Amino acid sequence: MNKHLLFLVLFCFSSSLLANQTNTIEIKKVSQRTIYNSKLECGKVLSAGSFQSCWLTLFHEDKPVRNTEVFINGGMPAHQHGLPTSPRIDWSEVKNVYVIKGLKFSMPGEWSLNFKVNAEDDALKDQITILVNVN
Amino acid sequence: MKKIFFLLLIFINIQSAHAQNWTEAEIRKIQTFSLNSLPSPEDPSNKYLNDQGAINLGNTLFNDKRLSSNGNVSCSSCHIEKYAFTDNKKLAIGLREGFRNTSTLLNAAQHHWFFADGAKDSLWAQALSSIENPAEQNFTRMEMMRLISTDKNYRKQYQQIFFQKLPDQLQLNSLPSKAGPNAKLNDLIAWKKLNKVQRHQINRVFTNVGKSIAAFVSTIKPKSTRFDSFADELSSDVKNTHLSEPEQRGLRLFISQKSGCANCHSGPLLSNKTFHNIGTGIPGKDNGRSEVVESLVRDEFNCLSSYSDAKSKQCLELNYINRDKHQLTGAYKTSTLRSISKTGPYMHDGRFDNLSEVIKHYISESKKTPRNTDVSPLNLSEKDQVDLISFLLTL
Repeated sequence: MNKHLLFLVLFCFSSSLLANQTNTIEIKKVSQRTIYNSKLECGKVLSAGSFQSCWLTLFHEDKPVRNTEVFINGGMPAHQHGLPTSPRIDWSEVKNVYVIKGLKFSMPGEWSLNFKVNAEDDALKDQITILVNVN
Repeated sequence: MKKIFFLLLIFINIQSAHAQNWTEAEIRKIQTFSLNSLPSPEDPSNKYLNDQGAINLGNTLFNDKRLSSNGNVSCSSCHIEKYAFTDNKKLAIGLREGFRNTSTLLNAAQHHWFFADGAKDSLWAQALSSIENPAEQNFTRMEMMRLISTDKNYRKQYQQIFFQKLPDQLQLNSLPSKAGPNAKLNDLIAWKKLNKVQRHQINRVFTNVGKSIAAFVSTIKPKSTRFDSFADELSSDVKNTHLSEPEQRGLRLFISQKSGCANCHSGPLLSNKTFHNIGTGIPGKDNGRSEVVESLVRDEFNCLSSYSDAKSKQCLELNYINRDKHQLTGAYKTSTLRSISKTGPYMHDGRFDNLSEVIKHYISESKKTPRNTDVSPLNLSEKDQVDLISFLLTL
């Protein structure tokens, strides 16, 4: 009986540790014209009031898209207002992803992040809209 | 036995009539408002923020009426402690009536932007702006260097804190009595006639004075209230009597999406410290945040300036400032609700005398079509409004 109880306690403890470790955001989305598959990742659950650490990965025909020009903006559809800051997104050779800097949310709820892929080739220009939940 | 059962039922009914049942999610939300979750203030642009010498000097300067052109106005003339560091006036009155309501200084150092439109990005730059403003203290930066250099106590304190040599009487004799870039024409001309080195020396003294005042202001904090006691002791299984039943109903409404109050009035300050259009701007006359963003980026005393102690990468708010004027038209900083019973009149221009008028404004704004503000649809009964105000007065 005691052994079972101990196992149960240890299981719950390790599960909660694992949950904390995997408390990250990962959202996949296909671009509007279906040119790109994108993946937005954030280091932890998004929260209002502080700068967030997020990055984007782009794929075209299953190959990673590197060092192209990407713009970011966003807002809160339900409240009809934009982001409180002007974040920027730049390709990072070191991290091999598009790093988003200066991203902040002013209130909890559903926010929309819009990425414009401004590829040199007009045929490869496209947009991605990703909805995220902010605590 | 039947009698005991009957009495028990009555007791349970009385208990439930006098206690709100809070869910774990509501409790977590309420506890985010507690003063206990407030971090220590930080400002990388002011390395003297926690310097005790600077705090003491700032305290004296904050109350010194000599920092005004008529010798009758100090920072504390408008930021009065018994009114939660406001003045209870519709519009601030310094040398003359200004165009904004005096903001509280309680926890001011926790903000990123200062003044209702966020025209400054540090507490020290805000203090200096008020000192030079013709409607407030109308004191030039040249006069400030003269005062700090000639007052024996100030001179001693200043040199001990900042290790900057102040000019002696002989050097002061070669300088104008008044001069500043924001002063009236004669004093502006006097400022323009100074050379770059002289101007830099005066600016250095001026900004150090601002940093001292900011260091003092950063120590101004609200006292814990009945609401804080309620939030700190709140749990789902213990009766909490710090707030009355109407106050608790008001709190539940405050955190609900029915009112939407806590969307912007969040965290221990009950402010998300950013800018929203709630329909209080006056098109063509007072457009709020949109009017100051460009000057803020070029401000001589901003976080990226040579008078700031911050490294460029530490100026996150300024580096990523929202400059979308269309989005920012009519937007003002979300006011803190802390000590709200003492900080009226309300809004950036003090247009509302009481909280009932404030809530009625939100309701009326939410019903306008098309809706051009950040105010969401709002449907509050008269009783809801009374409960909400009961709660707000506990903050």
